[in-house]
Amino acid sequence: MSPVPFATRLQSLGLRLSPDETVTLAEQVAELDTAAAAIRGPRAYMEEPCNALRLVPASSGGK
Amino acid sequence: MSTDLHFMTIAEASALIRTGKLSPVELTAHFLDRIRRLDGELHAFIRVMEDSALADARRAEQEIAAGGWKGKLHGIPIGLKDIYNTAGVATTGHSALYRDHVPAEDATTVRKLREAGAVVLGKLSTWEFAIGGTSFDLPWPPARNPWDLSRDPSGSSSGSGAGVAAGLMMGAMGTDTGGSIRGPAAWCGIAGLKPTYGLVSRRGILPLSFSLDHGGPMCWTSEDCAILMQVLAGHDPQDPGSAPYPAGDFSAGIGSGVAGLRVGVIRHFYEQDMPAEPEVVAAMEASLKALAGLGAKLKDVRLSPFQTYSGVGSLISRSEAFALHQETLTRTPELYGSFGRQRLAAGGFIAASDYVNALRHRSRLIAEIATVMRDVDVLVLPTAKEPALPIGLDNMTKGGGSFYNRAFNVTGSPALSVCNGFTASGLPLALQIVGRPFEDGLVLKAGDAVERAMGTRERRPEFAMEAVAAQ
Repeated sequence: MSPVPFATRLQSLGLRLSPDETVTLAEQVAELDTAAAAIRGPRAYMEEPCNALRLVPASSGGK
Repeated sequence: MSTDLHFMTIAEASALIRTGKLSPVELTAHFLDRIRRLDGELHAFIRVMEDSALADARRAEQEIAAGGWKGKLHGIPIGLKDIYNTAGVATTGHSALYRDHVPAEDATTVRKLREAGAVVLGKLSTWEFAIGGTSFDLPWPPARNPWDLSRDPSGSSSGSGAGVAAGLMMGAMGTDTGGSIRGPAAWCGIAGLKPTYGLVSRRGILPLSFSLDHGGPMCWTSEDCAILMQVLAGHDPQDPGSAPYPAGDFSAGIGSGVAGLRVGVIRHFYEQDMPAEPEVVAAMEASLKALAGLGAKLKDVRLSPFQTYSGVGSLISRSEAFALHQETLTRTPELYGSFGRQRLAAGGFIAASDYVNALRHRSRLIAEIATVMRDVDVLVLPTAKEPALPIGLDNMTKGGGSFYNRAFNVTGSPALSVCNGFTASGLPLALQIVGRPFEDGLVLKAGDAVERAMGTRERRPEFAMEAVAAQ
């Protein structure tokens, strides 16, 4: 699969930037891609970010 | 004690106000006069609230005269970064997009400060929506560094750092998503605390990244930051990230030194991962010597590389910021400055899986720092790898930037920047002190000890001194 051109990705997000801005934006995106690649890999189930679903029973009064 | 009203600390001024030796009206008028004289060059303020500030000061004076002293902030002039909502007064985020945004209510922190009797002098410059960098294409100019007006004060709490350092206010509120309190505190030579995540309410502060945003105080000294924290801290049910724990006493350790304190030095951050400039390292070594001389016990500690912390923080903050701004960024991009537009747009390119991975890795980093801090009470490192850069350099797009701050937004740890020296050319340098969650008081105690031992609080920017001579 060939990579999606940066301009196409920009357009698909509905973003409108000048050509100069697009160059520096691409640099920032490359840095974020590098950061993302560095932390990909298998993890223990205990590391799942499920804290948003820490529910409490109604009988506890919501506490 | 300084004999200049504008160089007094909050602790000094409040003692005089309480005993009737200093008038809040006189003090407020003095600061307003300095703002008129100096802010045309410094640009710390977006909006000066002269009439309401004088009204606040008159009310404070009457209350104190009637025996109703409320505490150490009563009658003290402060400033607010212009992302703190103020009822009936525009809160712009330093952006054309919010030029006419007039909130109906104060932010929780603003309400608390007003209830404590603080006098709000005005709204302060920031990077656009606390992310846009030092920009020249916004409706208001960027703040400048009072130690050298050709230099950047850093951001995003740029007006807060510049204004406190120049003696235009006694304290200010900043916010910190990736270092935005500690960065300008470092480059402007003041104290700035990013409190423990959840300790200070964010309700009514324009959000950037809900899981990394923090509000906190910026003052000339750690002692003054502790005074503000006593008012600011506490659970707020209207902030979903607010922690339901008692606030504690932030001033209890001030002046009591650091004998026996176990200090971990994150040497690899500033010697290997992102090497600091020689003058920064020299100030760091002098700080370690001072801490040891005060009886602290030092040892080196090792964490994951700084870039791992920084990368996780960037992935989370950019994703969350894009989610907040996506609609306006696509509909009205022309209302953002160029830097803000680019930095916010970058978050749109992060895959959902990478955002989730960053959240998962964040848990690992939080556990790592908790393990290391079983054996030490605080961690220390420089705040910045270099002193203030010339204004106009976009220092956020290359590498990790100038600061070691983002790591502690990721972990939510309390982190304080204090001035620990000056370069040969007279620019401030800074030490960062990091604590365990909710041990903000201990961090402030250590910062206070460093400030006293290193004597850095006696020196002010020449810009502010020359202005004194001209008066």
